Amino acid sequence: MEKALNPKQTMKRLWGYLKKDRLKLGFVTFFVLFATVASVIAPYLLSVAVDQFVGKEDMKPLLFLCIALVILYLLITFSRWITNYIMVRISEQSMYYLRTDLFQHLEKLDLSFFDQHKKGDLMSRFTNDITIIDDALSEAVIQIISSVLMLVGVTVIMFIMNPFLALATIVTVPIFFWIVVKIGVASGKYFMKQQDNLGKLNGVSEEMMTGMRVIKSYCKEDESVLEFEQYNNALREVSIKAELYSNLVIPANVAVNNIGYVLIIAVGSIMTVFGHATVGNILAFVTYADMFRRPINQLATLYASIQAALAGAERVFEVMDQPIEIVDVKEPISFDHVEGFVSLEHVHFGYTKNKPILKDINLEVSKGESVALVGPTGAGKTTIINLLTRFYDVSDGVIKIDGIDISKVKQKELRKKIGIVLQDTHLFKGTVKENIRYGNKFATELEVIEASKKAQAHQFIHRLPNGYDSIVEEEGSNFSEGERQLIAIARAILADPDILILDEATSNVDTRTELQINQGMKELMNGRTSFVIAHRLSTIRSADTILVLNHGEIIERGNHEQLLAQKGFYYDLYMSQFED
Amino acid sequence: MKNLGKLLRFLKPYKKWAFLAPSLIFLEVIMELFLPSIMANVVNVGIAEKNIGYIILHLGIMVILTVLGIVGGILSTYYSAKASGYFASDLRKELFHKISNLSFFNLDKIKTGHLVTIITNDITLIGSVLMLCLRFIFRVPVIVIGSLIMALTISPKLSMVLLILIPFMIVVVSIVMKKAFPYFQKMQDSVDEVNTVVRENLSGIRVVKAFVMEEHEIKRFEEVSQHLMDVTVKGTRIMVTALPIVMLFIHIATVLLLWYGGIEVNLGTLQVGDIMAFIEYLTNILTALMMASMVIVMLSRSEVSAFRINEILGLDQDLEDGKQALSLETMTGKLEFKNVSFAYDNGSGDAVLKNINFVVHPGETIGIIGGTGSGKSTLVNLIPRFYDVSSGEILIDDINIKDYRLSFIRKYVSIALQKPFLFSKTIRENLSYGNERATEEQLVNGAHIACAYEFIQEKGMDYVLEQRGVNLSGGQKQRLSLARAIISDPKILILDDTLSAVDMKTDHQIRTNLKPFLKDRTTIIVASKIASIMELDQILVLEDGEIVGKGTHQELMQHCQFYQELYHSQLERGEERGKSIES
Repeated sequence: MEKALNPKQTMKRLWGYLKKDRLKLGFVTFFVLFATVASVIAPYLLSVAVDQFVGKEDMKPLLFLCIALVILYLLITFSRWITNYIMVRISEQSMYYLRTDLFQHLEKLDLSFFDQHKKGDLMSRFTNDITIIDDALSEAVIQIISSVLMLVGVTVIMFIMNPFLALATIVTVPIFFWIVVKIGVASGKYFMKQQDNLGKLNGVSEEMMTGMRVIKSYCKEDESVLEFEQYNNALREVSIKAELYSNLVIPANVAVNNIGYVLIIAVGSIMTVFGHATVGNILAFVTYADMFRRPINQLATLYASIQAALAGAERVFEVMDQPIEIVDVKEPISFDHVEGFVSLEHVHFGYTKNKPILKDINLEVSKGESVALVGPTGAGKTTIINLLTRFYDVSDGVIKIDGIDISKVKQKELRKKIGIVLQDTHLFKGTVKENIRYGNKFATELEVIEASKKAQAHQFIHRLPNGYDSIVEEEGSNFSEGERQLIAIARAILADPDILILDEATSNVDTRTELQINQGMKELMNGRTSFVIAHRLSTIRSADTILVLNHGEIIERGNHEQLLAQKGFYYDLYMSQFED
Repeated sequence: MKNLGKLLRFLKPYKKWAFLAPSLIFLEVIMELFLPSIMANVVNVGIAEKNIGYIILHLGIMVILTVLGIVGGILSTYYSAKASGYFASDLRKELFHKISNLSFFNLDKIKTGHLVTIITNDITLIGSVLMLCLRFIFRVPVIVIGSLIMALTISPKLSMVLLILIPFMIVVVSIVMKKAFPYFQKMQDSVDEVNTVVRENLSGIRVVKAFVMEEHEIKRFEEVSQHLMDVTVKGTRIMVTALPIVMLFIHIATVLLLWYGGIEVNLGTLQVGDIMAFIEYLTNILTALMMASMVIVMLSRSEVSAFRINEILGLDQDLEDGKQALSLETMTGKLEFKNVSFAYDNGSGDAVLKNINFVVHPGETIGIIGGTGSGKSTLVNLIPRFYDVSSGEILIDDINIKDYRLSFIRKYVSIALQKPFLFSKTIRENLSYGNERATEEQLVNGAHIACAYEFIQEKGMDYVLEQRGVNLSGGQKQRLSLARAIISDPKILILDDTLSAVDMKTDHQIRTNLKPFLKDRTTIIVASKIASIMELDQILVLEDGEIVGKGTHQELMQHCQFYQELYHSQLERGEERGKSIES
């Protein structure tokens, strides 16, 4: 089983979430206490009834006792119900806080964190791990209290009633305990293996599903079924064992129960014959034996689930403890109005220390200027964009907007001034309108339409059955790549930024639409400083300045004509498209 | 339980185990049934008459019964684990088999995540439920009925307490369950909502940050998270009433037995030991019923899973080979579209392609150009029969492609997609995916043509790609997928905007490299850049699913207005300036 590295501290932290509502926890503890004590007393009353009141002429004492028992049981039932009732709220509430804290921290984390972690892994911390914690927490508190109390209470009352029978009852416990632990360990081991195999199968099937087009086009259906079967068979073997061991607990339970039962009857009846016990004792001890073993059983299963929960909690806290490296300075400078002068001075950057991506970049962009970044893949174009928006911080050098070092400005303020259209557009579940309004919540209907018109998106949105209220599925999967681009552009236009960044934004739109977008973009770029990464020459050509990047350095700069005249890297790049 | 019932056919091969498991439980149950009555005898006869011999004899019987019960219980667990394990793995296999033989018409309707959940979670759940069922299917009725019979033989009068209370309890518990059930679905939906927000934020974090929408997203998350909490609390609160109520029934019945038993003992018609046995039987019956309700909860939860499985298993295999499907020695590669029209959703959607006609001969390369949504990708997807035409026909070597075996067509038709898909295997395995017998030389050659050799060499042929090839750039993935298509040595090669993420220089180099390779093959190049196709023998211009121009570059420049527009927007000015600088 996956073990928590620092169980004590993790437990403390989880407890911090639970104890938020002390009053309710107090109630729960009280009712658990009451229910446990009452449950311990009830069988004693039963045995008294059997020994002293049954078979007597006077029925009154029996009647009183029966009524007392009914009241006692009603109270027990009520306390059990109310503890569950309150506990559900406590545990769900703490899960709510845990989830929300995790999400809040996630939203604050640097981009580098997301670039380095797999989506599926982070996702599973939200789903699997929190569910495991929830399952354990909702039961743990009540069960730990009630189990321990029950053990103590039953032991005490048994020894008071009849020490010999008490010993006979407890003798079977170590055997029982040993069996439960053994089975628990084995089933835990196989369950972990099962999870492991399930994970592998999950990966394989996901890959095959996404690659179905390739599989089919190369006629590999049978091979992939075979490959799938390998993983499937491996899973079957371990899951049979996992199920076997985990389910063996039940017959083992039944077996030990019955052995204990026989033992109590044996000792009890022989003792009764010799006058050292009563029939009522036997009856009560049969019940007590059951009451004694149950909490042990519960604690054993609880131990496993608490272990799993702690491991899960550690994974959750690990994310929550991720430091945020890009933070605002204590007294940030505020932008009143951004003119749009951008400068990069001796900027160096690498995602890892010994692998520099950008080397000594110097750049001066004046207000309203459009800059095209050109160069082969990996030249550092996207990295410059990541630095301008402070998704990453420069390793050395400084980036200034209107002469102000951007690291001295609040990140949020900085990003509000910058509009970005990314290569892979991301849309959210909701309506088209909501998506366009994403950067400007208070935009009116009219402004939304206006922006869409500029982005040339109005035409197709208008034609949708529900127009701007059409539903966008998760990840925008019900729209084509081009349509998603158009919506993203409209979104950027509506946000009305001072500085514009287009990361290959138009590369997936067909040329005709691209032309129309260019028109809208031109209008938008008018008066705004803009940075464009595009593969298309038509886009690049209209830029005021073209920067040619290669291996993290600016190797050429100038406008289209100047660069062609240089007959350098840009010239080669450009000519390759047209020579015969 | 209809959906679960349908799945039972997968248990057929293992009916021996599936029969043994519940039968062996019998041993366990019988023991449980007899123990209380033996105990009653011990108390009534042994203790009352102080007959030690009698007591020891009966204790011996109890021990034997106990041992038998243990053996039965363990064996039953073993067989049920085996049966359900094999059942689940067969189900998985069948499901996967089904999926991999579905047409894209059906596949498009199912989301990958959904399928993966079915294969892992749903089937695992059903396996566990089957295990549970095999072990309780006999146990519960036998214990309930058996205990009742035993109770009746001891005292028909006292049994009335049981006969009245049990149905009453069943009614109350089922009311609780019925109230709780709708919440299971709501809880699941609510979990999905939370997951959606998380997933969207994980993949769209750049957008969130760029638009400074962190607060908005947190609020959105808090809303769904709160909803999840509320629904869970409500549903669970109903559920947790069940257990205390059942316990209450047990206790009240105990008290009633004590009272009426006490009266009977007074009258001399009953003995003390009998009351004790009665209480035992009562507890047995009620625990059995509690287990039954647990099984019912599991069953109804798994019913949803079974429904989802059946939904997939029930899909039509709509692209099956006919009985006389052709599989020839080889393919020449002549390709012809005759009045082809196509609409998604089995022809019921909007027409995506209208009346397409063209012919390509081996050795020829045809270019298809058009805007987003013009239908160019759809057109090429019809050739390997990813989808079937709605009307008209597609002919390969003058035979309708529907008359061939599917495997024959796909063996000779290779398509390299714009969004390339690579497997998380080595580069070598990926390259030879379409041609396992490819020699090292063929691999290297294919990689050279696709301009992929350089970076492959850098990483090594045995470099393992991560899932979806995330450790490669977009352009590198496209080049690998092109190399894979080349190595598969097709007769008809389709490049579906394959080089969109490759820079212009490399794009040009690849096109030059391809020329000798394409000499006797039929090639279709789908592109959005005119430069990629302007030198080809034949160009189709597609707009809104119709061919609006057909011919060479020169012809189209004269006759096709749409093509002219494209050309002017993309090339004209650049070309002029390029020339003026050269001169």
